[in-house]
Amino acid sequence: MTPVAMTLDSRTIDPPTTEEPSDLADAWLVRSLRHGDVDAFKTLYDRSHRKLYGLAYRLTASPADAEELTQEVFARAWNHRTEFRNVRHFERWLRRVAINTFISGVRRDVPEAGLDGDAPERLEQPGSGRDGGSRLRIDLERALATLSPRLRAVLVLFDLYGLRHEEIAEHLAITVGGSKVQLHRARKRLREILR
Amino acid sequence: MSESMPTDDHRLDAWLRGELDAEEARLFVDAARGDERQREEVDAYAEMIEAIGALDPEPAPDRDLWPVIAAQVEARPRHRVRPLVGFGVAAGILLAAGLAFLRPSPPTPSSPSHQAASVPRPAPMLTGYTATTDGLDAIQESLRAEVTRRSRALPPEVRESIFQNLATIDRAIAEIELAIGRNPGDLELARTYIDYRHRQIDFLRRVNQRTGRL
Repeated sequence: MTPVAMTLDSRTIDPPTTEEPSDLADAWLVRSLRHGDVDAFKTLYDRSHRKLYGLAYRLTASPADAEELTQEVFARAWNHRTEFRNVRHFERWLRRVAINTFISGVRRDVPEAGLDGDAPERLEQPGSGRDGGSRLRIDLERALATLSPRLRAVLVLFDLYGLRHEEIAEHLAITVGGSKVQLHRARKRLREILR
Repeated sequence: MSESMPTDDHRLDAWLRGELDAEEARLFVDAARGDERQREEVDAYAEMIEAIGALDPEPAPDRDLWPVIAAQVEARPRHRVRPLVGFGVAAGILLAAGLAFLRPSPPTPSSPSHQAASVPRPAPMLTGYTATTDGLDAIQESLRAEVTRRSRALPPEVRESIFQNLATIDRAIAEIELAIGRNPGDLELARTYIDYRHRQIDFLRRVNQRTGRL
């Protein structure tokens, strides 16, 4: 029997579109979400919130801001629950909205001219006793926090999350050339801070 | 691609702009390390870029974020039982298909169900099956028995994969049955339930066909 889409009470009910049993549970999960199942939403949250929080933290460089951004994105995901086709679509949507929300929030709070910022002051040299690797990591975390929002966004999206310039440009509403220039500037600024 | 890369500032800028692919970048850095003028600078950048890539992409939040999200979610209505009154035509179609068994006994074509039932065990709900699901049960049991018999001759990893997939389908069906139990009379759930039962049988048939050829 081949399942077909049927209409019930003016809504089209789509049958599962996957043949793989391992995807069947995911298809049911997203279907349940589309129909307002909070338990299904919680399951998807459990699977994806660490990744989303991590992205939010790397963008905002602030645990409190990252928490707020994460919660806001999931709340919006719930409001858009009828739009999700599958789990992968759901996770990509979370990432896209997190980046867009971050940039929109920055634009609201910081004048456009300030998005790229001036070179911040150099960090003090760390104390002795730490090994070189952890010292660099700690300095790096602090240095990233002092970068301007857009430079930090381009840098982490490219060097940490491996996005291509085309994807970064789409997320940040800039050109591909602009993304390359921003990455260049971000790396040079960071190098200046860490020197 | 050339074995060595010119280490001029143009290539350095291209590297810093992220325009070189992984292999080009590796060749550039290797060549730069042989260039006394650029070695220190390129080394510093390479170490920094590597350190960025080594940062934890999924640091854990300090606290559980779900309660705040749940509060916003709970402020909106969940999926609820809808009265059958609004589904007259659709109810008639499904009744003709023999799905009246999904209502709590005794089944009546136009009796609305407004009560959100507490989560029942699936077994009591299933006792009212008509020939439709009785037929599906019989087919499924027969096919499953055949799969079990034939799988004994299969390699262990193949056998395990088959039964893991079956378990996944069984779990999905069990969830639908629970959902139906909580929302008796939900015709969409009923339709989906039958669809999933057919998919379960289709999977069992395909496994039997393929194992029969081995």
